[in-house]
Amino acid sequence: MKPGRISFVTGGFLVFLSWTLLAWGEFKINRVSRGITIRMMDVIPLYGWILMIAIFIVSFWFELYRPKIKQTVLLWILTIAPALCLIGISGFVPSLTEFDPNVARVSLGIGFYLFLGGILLMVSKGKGGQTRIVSTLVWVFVALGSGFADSLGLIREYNNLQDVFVRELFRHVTLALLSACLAILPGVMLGYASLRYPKAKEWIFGFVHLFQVAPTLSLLALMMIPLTALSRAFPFLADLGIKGIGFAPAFIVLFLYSLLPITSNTYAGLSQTDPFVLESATALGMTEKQKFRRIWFPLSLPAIFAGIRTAMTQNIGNTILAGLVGGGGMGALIFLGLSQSALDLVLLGTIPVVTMALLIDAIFAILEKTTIKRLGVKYDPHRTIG
Amino acid sequence: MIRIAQLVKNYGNITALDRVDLTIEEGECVVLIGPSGCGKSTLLRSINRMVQPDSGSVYVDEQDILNYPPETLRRKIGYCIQNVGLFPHYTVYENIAVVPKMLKWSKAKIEERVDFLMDLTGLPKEYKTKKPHELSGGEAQRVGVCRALAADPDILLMDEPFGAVDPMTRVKIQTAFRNIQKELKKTVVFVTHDVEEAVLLADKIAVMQNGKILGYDTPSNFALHMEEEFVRSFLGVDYPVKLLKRHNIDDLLNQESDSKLTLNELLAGMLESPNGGVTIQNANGSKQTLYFEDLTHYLHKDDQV
Repeated sequence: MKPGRISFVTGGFLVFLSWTLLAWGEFKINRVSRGITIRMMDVIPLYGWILMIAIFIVSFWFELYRPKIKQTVLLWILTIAPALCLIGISGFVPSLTEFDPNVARVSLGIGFYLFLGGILLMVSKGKGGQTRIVSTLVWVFVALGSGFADSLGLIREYNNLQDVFVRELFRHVTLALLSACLAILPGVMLGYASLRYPKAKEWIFGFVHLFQVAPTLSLLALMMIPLTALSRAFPFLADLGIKGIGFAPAFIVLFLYSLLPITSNTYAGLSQTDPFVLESATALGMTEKQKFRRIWFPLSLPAIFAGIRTAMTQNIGNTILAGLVGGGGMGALIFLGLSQSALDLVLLGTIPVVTMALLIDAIFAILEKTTIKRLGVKYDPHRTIG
Repeated sequence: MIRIAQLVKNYGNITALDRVDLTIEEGECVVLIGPSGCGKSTLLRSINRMVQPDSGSVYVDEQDILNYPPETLRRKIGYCIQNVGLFPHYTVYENIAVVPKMLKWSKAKIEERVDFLMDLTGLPKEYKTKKPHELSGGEAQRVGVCRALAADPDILLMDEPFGAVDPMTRVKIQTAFRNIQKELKKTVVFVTHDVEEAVLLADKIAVMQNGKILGYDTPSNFALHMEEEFVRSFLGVDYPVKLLKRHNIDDLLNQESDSKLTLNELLAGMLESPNGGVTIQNANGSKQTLYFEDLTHYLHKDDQV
């Protein structure tokens, strides 16, 4: 069976499962009350039901019996389904219950997530699958922002915390990307040094691996000790923001974390450069500096980019832990939500993190591809370490 | 032009060069030949300081090469290797222009030089903007030769430059190189393990083994010493036959025409013919039948073989 068909059938099964068995959401009168389970039947009106089942069956029929005819149109129609369901769930009004419409909220349940996952699998089939996945998610975000889904818990939390959210989001991005950006130069230099001085290689790699192996959380805790001591000894440092808790320890830890992927990828990129190319550069009379700047470094760029990509995506995730030491970021929202058992708040913190990680990954993938194309070099990412 | 004196190089226990002496005259093409590991590449690479010898000296134009900074020296010496080592992110034009750019030539001069070299090596003009991965092995090798010749160096070092090219292309590129060499008269040091290539291109051949030069002479003179063991083992018992490739039918007939028939092809024709005779047309139009005696007579006339 083709991989496209496997994902389509699996996705279809998930969608079917979500329709029949599971809760799509939970209606709560307020943030802490027990909820009323919302099922698929409650959300979509009868004609919607029939339409969806029809599309579903027809696309399956196409899949199984007429695979040569394009089912692309049907797949494109499916991309909007999760967004419509989201609005449907948000608009759920239970009968016979008194509630304040400004406080009552709907939390999304496992059924919706399963449905979303199933649809994503189904639309990923065939040519343009990636575009359809992206557009499905874009539709969901459009639905969330449209105002038609305001009674979702997620949106309620956002509306309550709008200022905090924007501030922490900005902080998260700054922390994650700035620390990774600052690690580029030392990372590249360490990678070059470990190739140039083979004796130092063990030490350099030991050093950068140390941070990768140590759990992030314990590293954060360790960082607090010297920083606290520093800020006590030199109070002006504390005024600059360098103290045991807050921005400084998180920033330093993230910076150290970024070193390994950049260093090891730089090393891999440099050491994989065709030795004959380097030999002829020397033989043509290039100085070491010219050779590095014109030949060696540009030819290693795809690998270095891959390292920066890893560092940045990994930093976006790790920055969540900054919330634990007062460094802010989405972690602040997530841990607040966890402490209050407000799962929607946790979700509000998590979704941007995942989205950002995917976005950065995609941007760098494109950047890498164009660099490789521009350089006219082939680069095999499977051969890099880290 | 190049004088190598008492050059020694050891790699651990292995002696790559064992007190080598060699003098190469200006405009000569010297081919270093020998089994792998005999030190021929090491000798070549010590001329442009890619290898630092343990002792001994190399003189270029009677100047010790240690008097120059290595970069300055290398920019004056063309270098071409089997794996070509073209810069994959540069276009053909940029690859060829590397050394002239470092020597700060004017743009117009570089342009003119690149055009000249591409024309000389038979590369079409459209190739200027191509990247190395779009070229065939033979084309890449031609670009490599262009790059080596780019700054018009007096000396050219070539380390099995045509070794990785398929046999058909190799003959073409060898012939092309021979014609280029006739025109440009560079001082060439050429490493190969292919006797036929050596015979075709060399003004002088140096036979090497275990870091020593066993013999250094013109290709024809080696044929006079077939009784020597090293000649038989390295150049082959059939060396005189291979040598025929150097000679043209015009040499035998002592005439001027542009016949491309070489004497080994003539010999092949004689072997094929039932009476051992090959009839050819002279430059003046008269016909003549040549026999094996004519061949031996020519070859031994000045004791050439």
